[in-house]
Formats: sequence, C-alpha cells, structure tokens
Amino acid sequence: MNGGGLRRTLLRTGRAASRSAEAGRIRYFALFAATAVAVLAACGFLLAASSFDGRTERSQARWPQEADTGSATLLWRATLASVDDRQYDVVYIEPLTPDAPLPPGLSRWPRPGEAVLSPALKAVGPQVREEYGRAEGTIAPDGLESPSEYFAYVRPTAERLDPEEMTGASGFGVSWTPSLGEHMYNFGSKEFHWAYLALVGLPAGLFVVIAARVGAAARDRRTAVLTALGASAGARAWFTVGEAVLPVALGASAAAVAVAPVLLTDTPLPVVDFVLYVADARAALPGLVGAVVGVPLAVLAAVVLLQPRYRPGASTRPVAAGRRREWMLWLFPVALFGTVRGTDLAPYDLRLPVLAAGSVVTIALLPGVAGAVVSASGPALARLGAARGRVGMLVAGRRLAVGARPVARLVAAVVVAVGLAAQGQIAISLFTDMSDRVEAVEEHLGTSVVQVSTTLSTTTADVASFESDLGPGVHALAVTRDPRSGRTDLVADCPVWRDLGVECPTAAPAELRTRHAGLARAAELERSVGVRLHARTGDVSKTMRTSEEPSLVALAQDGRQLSLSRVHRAANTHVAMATDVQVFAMAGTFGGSGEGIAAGRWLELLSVAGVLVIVVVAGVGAVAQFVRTGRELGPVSVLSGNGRVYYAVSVWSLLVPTAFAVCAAVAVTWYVTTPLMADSADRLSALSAVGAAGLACAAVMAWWGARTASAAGLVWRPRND
Amino acid sequence: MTSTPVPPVLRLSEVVYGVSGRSLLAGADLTVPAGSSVSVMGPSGSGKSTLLMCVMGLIRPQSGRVEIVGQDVTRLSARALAAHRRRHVGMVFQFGELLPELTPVENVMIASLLAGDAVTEARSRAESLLTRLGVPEATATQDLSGGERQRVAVARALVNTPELLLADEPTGALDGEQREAVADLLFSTPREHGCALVVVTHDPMVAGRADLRLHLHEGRLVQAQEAR
Repeated sequence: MNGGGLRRTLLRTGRAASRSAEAGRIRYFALFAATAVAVLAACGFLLAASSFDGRTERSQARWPQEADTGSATLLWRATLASVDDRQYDVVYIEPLTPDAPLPPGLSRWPRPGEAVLSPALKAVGPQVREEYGRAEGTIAPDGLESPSEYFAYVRPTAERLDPEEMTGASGFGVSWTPSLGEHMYNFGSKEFHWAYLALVGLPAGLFVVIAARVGAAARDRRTAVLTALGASAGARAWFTVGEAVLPVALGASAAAVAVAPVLLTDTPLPVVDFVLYVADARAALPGLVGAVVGVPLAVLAAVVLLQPRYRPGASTRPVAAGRRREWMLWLFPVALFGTVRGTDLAPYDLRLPVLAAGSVVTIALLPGVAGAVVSASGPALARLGAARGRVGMLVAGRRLAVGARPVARLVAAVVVAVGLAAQGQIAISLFTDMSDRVEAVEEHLGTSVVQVSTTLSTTTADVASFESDLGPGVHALAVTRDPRSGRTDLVADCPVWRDLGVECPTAAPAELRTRHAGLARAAELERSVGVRLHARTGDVSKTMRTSEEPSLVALAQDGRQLSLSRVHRAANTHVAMATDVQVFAMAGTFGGSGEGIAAGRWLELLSVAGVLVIVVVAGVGAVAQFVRTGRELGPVSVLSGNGRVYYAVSVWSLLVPTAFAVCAAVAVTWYVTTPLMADSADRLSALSAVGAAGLACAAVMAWWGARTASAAGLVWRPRND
Repeated sequence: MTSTPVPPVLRLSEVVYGVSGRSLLAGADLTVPAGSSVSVMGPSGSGKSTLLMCVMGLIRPQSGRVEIVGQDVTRLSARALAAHRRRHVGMVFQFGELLPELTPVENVMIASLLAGDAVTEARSRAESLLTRLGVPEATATQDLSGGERQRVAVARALVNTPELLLADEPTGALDGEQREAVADLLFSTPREHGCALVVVTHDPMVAGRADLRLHLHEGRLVQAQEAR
C-alpha cells in the first residue's frame, strides 16, 4: 500500500476504533466540547483585542485638535458625570464658525441648550435625558467607543457658556490615546488579557488536555499493541488523528456557528454592560477564520503529542508512566515561593503580571503534586481496606497507587477551578470593597442633602432660579472650605437658617447644630473624618460668584429626598455650564470606583465562564475514569449482587482525593494571594465559599462517577471477544 | 422410611430465548446434580454464552424454567436473584475479569467480603484456596501469567463455596500446559467441593473431561454423539 493509501486506511481505522473504544462516546463528546470551547476562547480573545483596537481608534478620532484662538473653529470641554454606579464623560461643544467640523457621531450641531446622548445613556431613563438640556437625537456608533458607552455632547445655552474654561479646536483626531471615554472606566486591555488568559484560556487548555486523555488506559494499551505490530510513530499519529478528527471538526464547526452572529449585529455581553460593536467584530474576521481553522489543528496536534511515546524496554503499564515526570513536582515549591516572594521583589508595575503568571503556574502544577501525594498514600489505604474488610478502600487504594497522573487528571479540573474562582473572588472583593463602602454611606445619608460643585465659572450663577427650579421649600447653601483649619462653612441668610431650625449666627460662624435630620447626619459624618461644619450668615449668590471652589448644598426644609438628576439639571441651567451633583459628605470619595465596579463585573463574567468550562471538564474526567471502574468491577458486583461497592469505591477514589485537592488548592491560594491588598476576612470568606463549592462539586462528581460505574456494571456481560 | 429426593443443583426446562428473530435456545433442557460436571460445546454464535447468562439470570428467557438449587430464578425479583446468585453460583470467565491492580489474595477475598463474610474468614479462605491452586504470591495480579490469573479466577469463583460453578471458555486464552492445569483444577472441583460444574468450551479435550458432554445444536442441548 502506498503512503497516501496507508494514511487513509489508518485514519478510517482510527475513526472506527474511536466508536468502539472504552469510554469512546465520552471521549467523542469531550473532544467535541473541548475543541468548541478552545475555538470560542481563541475567538473571544481575538474579538476582545479587535474591540480594544477599535475603541482606541474611535477614542482618538473624537479628541479635539487644539488650535489658537485665531484659528479655532469650535470650543470643547470634557467633564465627568455618573449615573447609578457608572462614570462617563460629557463633552460641551460650541461652534465658532458656520463650517466648524462636527464631532464624530453627530450629524448636525445641536442648538444651544440641546444635548445629544449616546443610545445607551439615553436608555438609562428619562431622568438622564433632560439633565443636560433637551435631548435631541443620538450619537452614531462611529462616534462612540462601543455601542454600550455612556457619552453625551452638550451645547450650553448662551447664559451658561463658559468660553474661558473651554479649549479651542480646529478639528478632531489625534494619534495618541486620550483620557476620555469608556476605556477610562473599564477594564484596561492589559488587565483584561491577563484575566482572560487565566480565567478562560487556562480552563480551555485544560479541557483539551483532559479530553485528549479521556479513556487513556485502554487507549495506551491499544497504542502498545499497534507498536508491537510494527506501527511507526507516524502511523500511530495518523491512527490517533483518525480517532479524533471528526469530533474536533464538529466542535470547531459548532463554535464557528456560535461565533458567527457577532459578525452580523452588535452583541450585548451578559453581566458587564458591554456591547461588542459589529464593526470591531468584522475587523477581526481574518483572525477568527484563522482560529476556526488553526485551533482544531492545534487540538489534533495536542491529541497526538499527548499520547505516551513508545519506549523500547519500558513497561506500557501506568506504573512506569506515572514515574516519568516526577521532576515536575519539584517545580511546585519553586513556583509557590517564587510567586509570593517574586511579587514582593518585583518592580511595582510588574507585580500584577508576576502574581498572575506565578499563580497560574502554581495552580497548574498543583494537580500533579496532589496526584503524587494521593498516589503515594494508595498502598496504605489499600492495606487498611484489606485489614478492615472495606472493599471500597481496598480497590481505591490499589487503583490510586498505580500512578499519580490519572489522579492528577482527575483532580486537575477541580483544583484549577478552585484556584481561579478563589483568585477571581478575591480580586473582585478588592475592586468592589471601596464602592460597597461608598454605597453603604450613600444609603445611610440618602439624597436629602446634596452637594453641587463645579470647576467652571459661576460668576453668573443664578442661585434663586436654581432653588425655585427644585420646588417649594428647597434651600441652597453655599459651601466654603478651609483646608488649613479643616473647617467647612455653610453660608445662608438668616431666614434660611431659621427655616432649618438653626439659630442665625450673627457674628462669627458657629458650629452647626440642627434639627434637620439629613443635615445633622451629614455633619456627623464630616466630623468623623475630622471636618467640622459651621453655619455662617451671608449672601449665597455672592459667595458662589466669588468662591475659588464654588459649591452649593441643596436641601428641602421638610427633609424629603431630592432627585439627583433634577438637581443636576437645575444646576446645569442656572449655576454653571457643567456641574457635579453628589450626596453631601460624599464628595471626593467616588473617584475610581467606577473602574473597580466594571473590572469586578468583567472578572465575574470571565471566572463564571472559566469555572463552567471546568465543571464540565471535571465531570467528563470523572465519568470517563469510572466507566473503566464499572467494567472492571462488573463481574464481582454481578456475582456478589452488591451494587453498593461502586459508591464505596467512588468515595475513596474520587471524593477523598478531590476533597484533598480542594483543601490543598484553598491553602495554596490563600498563600499565593497574600501579596494582594485584600482584607484577610474578604480572602477567608472568598476562599471558604469557593472551597465549599469545590467540596460540593467533589461530592457531585463522586456520586455521578458511582452512578456511571453502577450503570456500566449493570450492563456488564461476559464478553468472549 | 423414604428419604426426600435431593433436587439437582441446576435444572433447565424448555428454555427458549431468541434475539432479533434468531432463535438461540429453542427448548433447552439440562439437569446437573451435585458433584457432577457437564460440558457444553457448539460453534460460535450457537448460544453457549446466552445459555450461561440465562443460568446466571443476567438475561431472562422468553419461556421455560431455570432452577438453581430448587428455585426458579426466572421468577425472582432482581434483589432476590442477586442474593440467590451470591449464595449458590460461582463463575469463571474466559479472561478472568480480575482487578489487575489488586493482589491475587485481594482479588479472591473481595468476592467473599462483598458476600458479607468477615475479613479474617475471607482472607484465610482466599489464601488457603490460592495455596491449594498453586498460585504464587504476587504484588499485583497483572504480573501473573495467563494460567495463574485463570487459577485466581477459579479461586474467586470457589471462595463463596457455590453449589453451582459455571465456566465460560475458561481455557480459551491459554496455551497447552496451562490449559491442562486449569482444566485439571476445574474438573476436580465437583469431587472436592461437591458442587455442580457447567463448562462452556470450544475445546474438545477440555469438554471430554466432563461427566456429561453436551452439544448446543439448533437451540437444544443434545448428547455429543447425537449432534454428530
């Protein structure tokens, strides 16, 4: 037979063998699912990279090209705003000439007092739509970093226009990445790529390895037979490819079908409030095609390379195979201590990459160590079982003693899941800790006392109109701060003070004592951070117009909650071109948490995806191993009429090793995450939750494995083949 | 005074079983008293293994009776059948079907442990049987030769002192010398243990050692000479 004919025959024979092999159907499913997951993971990475690129390009395209007063055709000023727990940018624009270039995404210049919002911001609700003036139209996708971006262009009214504080520009588009837009409040590309590789890439890679080795015991024996028949390494590889090619091809096709919709329309992602822009997805098309073709080839290569090599003179039994890579065990303590100490010693910018990479390596090596420990305790377990007449212990002990690698494969998925989930949870707790505190204080204070501040000019501020816009009984007090003495004065005239139940301070400012519940709470909170509130009598408008850091406090006499958006709208109309409205006593505490919340949500999405993959991996691994157990115990259990033996064996060979591995993973993760700034209680709570989930997963695996073995044992029949 | 007649260990009456329109057992009859042996021969696919599976209760015949120690196993519930099989039946498979990682003693004693025996009794019976059968001590059963493994399988089948011992091609995978040794061992068990033995085999030499040599011919068990 010529070479091509032989290859075709080997491929065909391999395909036929895959159907009849032990655990053949499980391996078929595993390879199918692993390839699909690997292709999806690669496509996800490429789409993310393309999305980052596209967002950067659009961000660059909308930043103004600064110009001198003489040549400027428009005025431009970006300000920060927030809604719910999300920060975003509001850009104030004003054309100076009739031919002033439009910012990307706008089809016409808004009229004075009009605002053009992004579709996502507009969809937040009616309260946001009117905050900046009349909302007219929406910003087109080419003017936004992503369709989910919150962004607004506002053309101020003539009264509020503040040319002094705006930048003159002659057009749009720069070559550097500006500090404006969604990317400022979201996961950065470097952090995202690291998190993606650890939380999605590693599980996907693990799935491929586990799938390639499902039913390894029977297949290794078959490889030995092929070798004995004179099959070369190449022939064995073609045979192995024949076994795997169909499920791998189907898996890649399924993934391609699953990814295709992102090329047709904008795709919202769950959890993270992010929409993938179809244009970015299409830009990634060549890479996606490469992934759909290349990843399955890589999976096939892995399947071939992960077959044990033929070693003349060596036993083909697992005992010998298990001893081959003991040197890898020595890498574990190096990786463990290297990660913790290396993070301390690394330059500040490299700490996160060092910690992330070290954690991934440590967790990847841990299953091998857990396997070696469990395997080494196998003989003692078997002796104990034999002495006490416990069949489950006896069989499991002997099975575990055969080799560390089958045990490592068994526990790998759960160990990696626990490690990743725990690290993800700890990182999320890091990001969300601050915003949780802010939220708690906000809830405590409510919105009965809100602060309006601005960095823009308030020389024409009209406080009386501002008050009257907010309805009857609402007062506005000016705020002045003296950073040297730590004193903050609230300025109002006597009728207002009396209205609020405060004795009118006639001469020097007096420490604020009020019956107004909201103001009293705010004063108490300020006192707790060393700021004392004083009441001073004065003209609010005058104080606002002359203050270097103008700021107002708005509150209702009856203590009712105020609408932040209504206050914002009134402030933008009457106080300054752009204002910031927050719960009083919260000013300055909100910065940075928007990014943290977004990062936390991304981590949540990625770790859920990764852990879901791993749960499937763990199940596939456990079931595949127990098909063999069921077949081998079949004769004994049939003759003895004892089906409980499967559950006993499962407890000792699945539950106990996995529970041990979970505990080891929790302990190692605890140690590895010590360089993180997370609170010990947060780490403990995250690790306890993940550890408990891991143990529950181990119990389900053990039950599932026993059930599979029991089912395999029930259908066992003597075969005279 | 007349004594109650002892029922045969195994009695098959008019056992019928077919699959996919093909009749494998078409009214098979067989009676095997304690202390005697029967061999069943027949071409591949003639229904020999099906016959053994009917006896073990792994498949239910479409009609007829399969009595083991006076009990028709075709009418037993799954739980009662498992208990009856555990008490009265032992089986030797063609490839031993042993757990390769366990020692020979452990392979034999787990059958006894699973039947509910105490560990000391199970161990001592397993060791004694293996010594009598001449199985060398080994760390793992997978290190034994084919003949030795088959002797371990015989020991496992005998450890619960069954009244009925079934053997499915017990020498099929063995060479001449080992085949002789295993055959000697099997056919000595009815005399030594007082059990009934049914051996399904392709091997005329092995079949020739049985007290009664039967042939599965067109779904019926007939004396070897009749079949020719």
